[in-house]
Amino acid sequence: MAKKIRAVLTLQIQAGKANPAPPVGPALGQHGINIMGFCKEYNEKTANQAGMIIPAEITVFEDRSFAFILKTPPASDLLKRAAGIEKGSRAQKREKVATISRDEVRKIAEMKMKDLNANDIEMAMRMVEGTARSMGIDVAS
Amino acid sequence: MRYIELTAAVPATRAEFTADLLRAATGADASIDVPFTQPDLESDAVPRPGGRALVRVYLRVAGDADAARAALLDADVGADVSVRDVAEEDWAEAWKEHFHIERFGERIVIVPSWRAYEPAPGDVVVGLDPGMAFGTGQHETTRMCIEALERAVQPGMRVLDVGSGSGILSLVAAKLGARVTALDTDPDCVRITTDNARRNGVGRAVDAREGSAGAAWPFGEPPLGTFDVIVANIVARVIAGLAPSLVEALAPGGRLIVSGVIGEREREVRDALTGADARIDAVRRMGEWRCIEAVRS
Repeated sequence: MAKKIRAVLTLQIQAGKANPAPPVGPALGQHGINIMGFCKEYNEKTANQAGMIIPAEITVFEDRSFAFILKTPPASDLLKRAAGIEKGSRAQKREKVATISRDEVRKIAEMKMKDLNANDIEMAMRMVEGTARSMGIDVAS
Repeated sequence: MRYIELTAAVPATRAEFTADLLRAATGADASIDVPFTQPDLESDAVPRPGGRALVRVYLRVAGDADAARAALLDADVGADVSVRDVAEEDWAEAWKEHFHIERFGERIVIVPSWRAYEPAPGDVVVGLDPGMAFGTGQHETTRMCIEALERAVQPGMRVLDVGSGSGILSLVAAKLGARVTALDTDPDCVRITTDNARRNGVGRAVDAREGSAGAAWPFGEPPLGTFDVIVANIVARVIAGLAPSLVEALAPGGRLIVSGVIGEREREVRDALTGADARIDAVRRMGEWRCIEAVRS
């Protein structure tokens, strides 16, 4: 089927816990797609990743059917786990909240490669480092 | 209950980070409207260069909106922030308003499970809920294929549905009395087609498998002269590539119904079909879409 695309949405939600409350309900409801159908599929596919944010990228087609793929956890979530912090700095230009090694950056870059549109691992690492800097996380040289 | 909907418009490259920032500042999950473009109807969506993503969180406490604004300002993500009040809705039910009972051709009626319908004499009723596979009946190509199936299918015929999606075309053919082989390369679609067939009481008439016509045929040797009707609602490029296999699989005098063909690709599909020794019998148009019917020469 030639699928004319109506919208592309990403939901950053907790694995196994999708439900019709916001943000899922309003995001999907505006396009008239089957919310419970999405929740059921998402929760089944992420049931064994409880505690993680597992983004779902949803493509909504012209006839209001949809498809979705699961993405890797956000780089910032992975960085926080690696750095052992609850949240990044909200004033990252002034305050450094943690330091991680280049090996840890490499591990995150490898995990995120397929979602980052990076040409190679070095480019993916630079992107992860950029996210780290913006959160106030230093990368040890 | 009311929510505060906070929307941050940011460069698409900053969307994921912004969503994370908002989640950290407010404790709320986030959604992102991704700016995209679709180079042509056979392509997936690709990021729109320079596009701005809309990152949203829904908050219950006004103070959280202040915290979110402060976090965005501190992080300097270049966000344009807007805030509005939204009333809680029954989101789990509201989307259903987009789907109604639809009549196709003379007899076919597609009925969502939450709508009551009293069939008229002669109606062929298919129960189908929209979901995670293409084919809700709302698209022109689906409509034209259903109408062509209604004209072509007689009880006892063998029908092949290539690219079954939700299974809507297989269900229609089965309800018209055919034995149906439904193929899709997506295993989710195979499962959904099977479930929908069972719900309609035609589980034994619809054999859904992962595969396609031609090289991906799932039953051993590809079929020769087997099917009375073949329907393929896919895309022009795929149909053109499969044309020899589709025509070979047709029984003498059998009918091939293809759609998912945009007007500008009609010639390509017609040439592929005639090149595979099929004769074009009809071309129907609905909007920018075409449904081509061919018979085996």
